[in-house]
Amino acid sequence: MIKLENVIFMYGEKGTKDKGVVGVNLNIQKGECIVLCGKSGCGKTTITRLINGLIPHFYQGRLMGSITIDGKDISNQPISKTAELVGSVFQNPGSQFFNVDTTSELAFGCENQGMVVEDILERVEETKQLFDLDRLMNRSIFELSGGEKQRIACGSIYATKPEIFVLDEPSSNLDSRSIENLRKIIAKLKQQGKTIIVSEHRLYYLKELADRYIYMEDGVIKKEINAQELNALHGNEIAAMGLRTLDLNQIEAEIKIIQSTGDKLEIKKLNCKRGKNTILDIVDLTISHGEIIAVVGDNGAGKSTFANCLCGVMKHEGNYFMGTEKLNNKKRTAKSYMVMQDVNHQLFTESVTEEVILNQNREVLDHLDELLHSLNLLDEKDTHPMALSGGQKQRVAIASAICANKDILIYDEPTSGLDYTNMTKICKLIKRMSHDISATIIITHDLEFILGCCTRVLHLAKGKVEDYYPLDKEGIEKVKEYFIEGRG
Amino acid sequence: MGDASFGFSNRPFIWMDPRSKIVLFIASSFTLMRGISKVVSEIIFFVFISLLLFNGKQINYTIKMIVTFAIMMYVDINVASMFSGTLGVLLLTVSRVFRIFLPIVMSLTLIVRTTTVSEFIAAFEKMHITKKIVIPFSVMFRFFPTIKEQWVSIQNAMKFRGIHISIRTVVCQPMLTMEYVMVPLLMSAVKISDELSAASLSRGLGGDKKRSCITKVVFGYLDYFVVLISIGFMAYSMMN
Repeated sequence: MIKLENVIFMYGEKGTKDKGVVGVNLNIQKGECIVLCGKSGCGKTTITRLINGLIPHFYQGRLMGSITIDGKDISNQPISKTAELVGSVFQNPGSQFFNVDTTSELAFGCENQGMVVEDILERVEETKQLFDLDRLMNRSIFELSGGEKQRIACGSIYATKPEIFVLDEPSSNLDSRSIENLRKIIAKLKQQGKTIIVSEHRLYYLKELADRYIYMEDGVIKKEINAQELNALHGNEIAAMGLRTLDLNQIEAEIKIIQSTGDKLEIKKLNCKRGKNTILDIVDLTISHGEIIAVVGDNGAGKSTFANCLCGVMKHEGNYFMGTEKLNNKKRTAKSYMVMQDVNHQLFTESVTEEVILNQNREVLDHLDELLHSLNLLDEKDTHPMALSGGQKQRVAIASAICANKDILIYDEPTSGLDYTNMTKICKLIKRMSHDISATIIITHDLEFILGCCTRVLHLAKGKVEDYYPLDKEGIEKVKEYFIEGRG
Repeated sequence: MGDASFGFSNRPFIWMDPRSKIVLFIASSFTLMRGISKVVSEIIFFVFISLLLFNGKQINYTIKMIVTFAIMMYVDINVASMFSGTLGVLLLTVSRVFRIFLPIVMSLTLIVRTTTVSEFIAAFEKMHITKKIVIPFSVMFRFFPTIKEQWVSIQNAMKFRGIHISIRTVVCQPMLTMEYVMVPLLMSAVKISDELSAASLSRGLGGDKKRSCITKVVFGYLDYFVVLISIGFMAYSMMN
């Protein structure tokens, strides 16, 4: 059905920028579920863009070879024509909607095709039933959580009834419950005989759905593996390929318990309200020096609120002590640093060096090279931060936090959209940094990552502390249970 | 969540065509330019827009506006005359400028808060305006609230870095402050608009086919009434 023959694509007007794909041959049958996997930057996303026609109609570059769907040449027909055959769901739930209200969004694709209004309403109704979207109808997009947005995105594609669904890292910003919902949606699509192409890092939720895995490296298809073959591989072999685990149960974890003597960070009577509703209420919480704490919980449990309160950028009541010193909001803001999910928000200057020493004494310059070297950034010293890759940007942000002698480091979803290799790199980095600071707080939905570097878990539910436990043998079982239960 | 309702329609009691809202907006700007001399007609116009906003279920917002309007009116008529000299003039100016601007702001709110993006496109298409103009305008509905979300997190990021923005920094180091604000803001704006365009293209926006719209965009009684009143006010302010 879908045929890619000898496809070469290079980004950039002259086709000089790298990170395209080379010599891709791929045949996809009707009704197949294909998973594109491989390290970040391997060309997965490029393949999805070739199929939905965004290459060459939106992303410019040099294209050779042919891409056909049912014999029709995708690169030569207008993209609105391709849209009737191929529906796409993108990575960022925040920026793929054209409308502001959910109902219009579901109808949007059909409207573009000029369908009769009665038919559109029927389609919207059908989609609502199938994907269980009742609660989400007629709402503003800006009120929805990431998971809800992704459900609407899938629904709005489904309403136009394309034969092919292309999903580009749809789970990157989702919690475990929402991933389970996504899995159900993909299962329904498969049941209906739709052809599904998913580019993804997280593989565990696709395990029972995938027919074939396309493993890519540096823009080349390295291997085509069918599902049985991949499932038979040992966890180590999958990790060696730079892939995430296929089975959450099999993640191995070492026990890391912190024995520390440094000053403890104590939080007492934290209470945060939005309007009249209490959205976070923590009576008493103690964080030992050097601890790495994973904050887990469903969307809306208060994880981000907790982070924002802790670093003093959100209005709330509460007492904080470090040893005997009382820390007010201002002091905490000076002591803490948050590595945001979208690091683009926190890079302000024109070169990596300037960025790191921003607002610091000139003394830090002496240690600068050493620091940049340890973060693998020395070669990029004079590069504009915006020209760096996502991972590099993240490390620049961490470097500036270290430079500013921050005591509390908070990471907001640092591994969303990271492959196994890059995730282990972040794990190592966080562990190394944690020795010198009082507390590392990580908001995350990534079990593999938690077991890779955290020492404690703070489980929030409905704005309260549901559980707070060290990751000893028991703790490891507990956190696994939480994530795996989210599936069932 | 004030701006969350940007481009989101709460199902008004009586549906209004986006085109008549635009006519109303033009009328309110027009009366500002010419200046209405009679307080009575000004009040009528204000009450009219308020009623339309109530119709669009913008209750809290409208109440706030009515209170502001009433205070300004009171200051103008009763308070300002008690003071003489500079203070009196100042009070009079502030209250009048505010009052004259209110209807414009409100009629703009009526457009952005009670029209869905889809209705907006359909209305423009009926006016045979080219897609090259319609699509950027409709993207704007999405773009501003999204940027606002980003702005909040950029401000937090600045606090962590010890970058302060205040009147002092804007005056003393305008270029540096600009840079700190503009670099991250522009970068995320570029990224968002890129992703938005890619997503809407892949869903068939901008094709040759004539779009349909689930809400019927047709002039109703209310629309004729609104257009009539708007034109009436424009004519009235021209005559004076």
